[in-house]
Order: sequence, then structure tokens, then C-alpha cells
Amino acid sequence: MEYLEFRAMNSDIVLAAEGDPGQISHGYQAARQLIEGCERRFTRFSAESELSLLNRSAGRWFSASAELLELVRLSLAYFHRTGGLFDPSILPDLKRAGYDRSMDELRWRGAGKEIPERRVLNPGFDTIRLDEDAGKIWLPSGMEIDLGGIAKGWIAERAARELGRYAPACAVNAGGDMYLVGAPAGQSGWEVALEDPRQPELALAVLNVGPGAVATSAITKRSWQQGDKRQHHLIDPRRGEPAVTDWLSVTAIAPHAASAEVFAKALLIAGSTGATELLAKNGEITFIAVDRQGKLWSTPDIMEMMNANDGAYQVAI
Amino acid sequence: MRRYKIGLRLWIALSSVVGFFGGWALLAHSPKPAPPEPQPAQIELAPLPTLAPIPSLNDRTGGFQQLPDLPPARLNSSRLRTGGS
Repeated sequence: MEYLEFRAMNSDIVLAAEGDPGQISHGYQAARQLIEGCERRFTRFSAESELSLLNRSAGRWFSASAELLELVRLSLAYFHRTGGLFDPSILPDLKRAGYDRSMDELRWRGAGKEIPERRVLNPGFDTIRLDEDAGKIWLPSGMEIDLGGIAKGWIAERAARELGRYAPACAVNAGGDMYLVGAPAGQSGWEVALEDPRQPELALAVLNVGPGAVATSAITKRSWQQGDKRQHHLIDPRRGEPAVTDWLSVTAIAPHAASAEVFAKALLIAGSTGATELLAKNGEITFIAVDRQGKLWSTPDIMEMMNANDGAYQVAI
Repeated sequence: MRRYKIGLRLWIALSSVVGFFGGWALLAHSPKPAPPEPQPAQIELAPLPTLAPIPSLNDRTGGFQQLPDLPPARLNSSRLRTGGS
């Protein structure tokens, strides 16, 4: 197995591939170019990105690339599937909570000490309009969207598929959002370590995951101090503030990275009390959650496929 | 005239009684319709869906459950690790 590690999308990126070294080298180059190109287009921290241009054109039709159109269409579909728990239009609330610059910069310089009191209510993400034939998006005036997580998963999947053209078994891990192609030689799947959100240097479980996507949302990673409040980046759209939840992290496993990313986030915001309702509407979700005591909770399908093995869980999908 | 009326009434009464009993006797001796023979069912019933067990009102966890505790292990050199970003 050969690896390439670099930093992009404010995350540690790991590319892993098995096969002909020359081919893998070409694959790494293509995947990295794709990741860095997509980052430039979909970051909200660059005024020149396509996403920033879309946000600035709220109130009028915007001619979007096919990729941005697809991401917004996916976002709209998941907004409905999660009953609004996944909502890219929480960007003003995210900024109000102090996340108004990149996480690297926020960790370095810190957030402003004052917490703005007023919450600016937007008209709701489902009021956006898409003209797929013309390739145009219309955001209502005042709406700004952040495609952060869903874009990262989507990019990881695209990069992995690109890398998969050069290596039969490969993986792209974008800060914990990963997409897996094939399986390493002689193995039924990829071993993915599930970090303990309280002590990231420890693994709570090792999952044996087949081709597909894994994504984790946690309230412990992207967090910062704002005044006397500890804030994190997972905004509960119902309150417009960082979610208050009894789960520290949720890892979702799904055929596609966007789905895994969205449901990891929505389940984390919902917590143990809201997860039942979310699962009732989306029975295909497979997830593992870690609560504040470090206990693991999962869907039964995971249990059926698990065997304790040397102190680690083995999960196959 | 009076006799004529009495005769007419008697004739109506008698013909009604005779007609009633005559019809009764006719129907009573007429051939009975054959009872329908049992036919094999033509409709194939779709299999009933398997219903999930009804969750207990006290079971707040619904579609998920707690896993047994396992001692955490120190992460080795695995580069495929997930814990949020």
C-alpha cells in the first residue's frame, strides 16, 4: 500500500492505493489536482470561489457549473430527507458563532470575544430555485450557503473514483470523510479506525469496511472559544446555534460520501432523542455514535455484522 | 244486485285463496337450484409484509442500541482513521 498525504480543505488528506507504482503516481497527481481544484471552487473562505460568487448573487439567477449545480441539488434533496437538520443555509449562524474564517486561522487567531445577539432568519433553504436545464441557481436575498461537509465528502468520492482509474484498490480520506474503492489484496475490506472523540489518539473500534463511504461528524474537533462560550461548528438549524447533543461523534457508512456526511451530521445534531425519528424516515442509515461517556451506539445491522476480534470491532458492509 | 255483490266477493276470496295455495304448491314442487360447487381460489394473495416489532414506549433508542464496552486501543499507524475534522 502506498500513501500520499497533504493538506487541503482545512483537513489532512490521505490517498492510499495498491497496484502499479507508476500508475499510482499518475493517479495521485490526478486525484490531488481534482481535490485542490474543487477546493478553490467550493470554499467559502475565498472571495473568488464559485460558491462565494453564488452567495454574492443572492436575489438573482446565477449561472453555475455542473458540479456546483449537482452539489446544491444534492443539498436540497438531503435537506428534505433530514427534515431540515441538514441545512447549508446556516452560514450566517455559523459566522455569528465565530466561525467566520478558516479553521486553521480560527485556531491560530481565535474568534471575536463578542457574541452577536441578533439571529438573522433566512427564508429557508427550500426556497432556493434551480433551473437545471439552464444551469442556474437562485438564492433568496440575504441567503448564504456553506457546502463545507457535503462538498468535502463529494470531492473525496470523486477523487477516489479518479484514483480508482489507476489503482484497483484505493481510498481517499479527507479529514475523516473517506471513500473506498475495491479492497486491499487478500482482504475483504478496508480497516478504518474509529477515533475516540475524547482522546483522538485512541481507537474505540476498527471497522472492516467494504467499498463505499465513511464519514464522521464530531463536536470536539472544530471547536473554539468565543467569549466565555465553547463553540463548535455543527449548527442546529432549529436554534441557529451550535447543537446541544448527548453524542460527541457519529460515524455513518453509506454507498456515497454525500449521504454518509449528511447523515453523520444530522444524527449528531438530532442526538439520541431525535435519532429515532430520523431513522424511521431513513431506514437505510448505518451508523455508530459515541456518547459523552465513551459508550458506542449503533444500528442493529452493524451489530449483526460485527465480531469482537482482539479488542476491536469488525464491521463489513 | 245484493246477491251479485256477495257472489263477486266470494269469487274474489276463493280465487285468491286457491291462487295462493296453488302457487305455493307449484313452487314447492319445482326443481331446486343446484348449490354452487366450491371453486379453487383464483386470487394469489401477496405475502404479508413482515412487520418490525413494536418498540416499547420505554425504549427511547428505537432503531439503535448500545454496544458492549471494549477497551480502547492505541491507534497504530493506520492512516484510514475517522473522527471528524
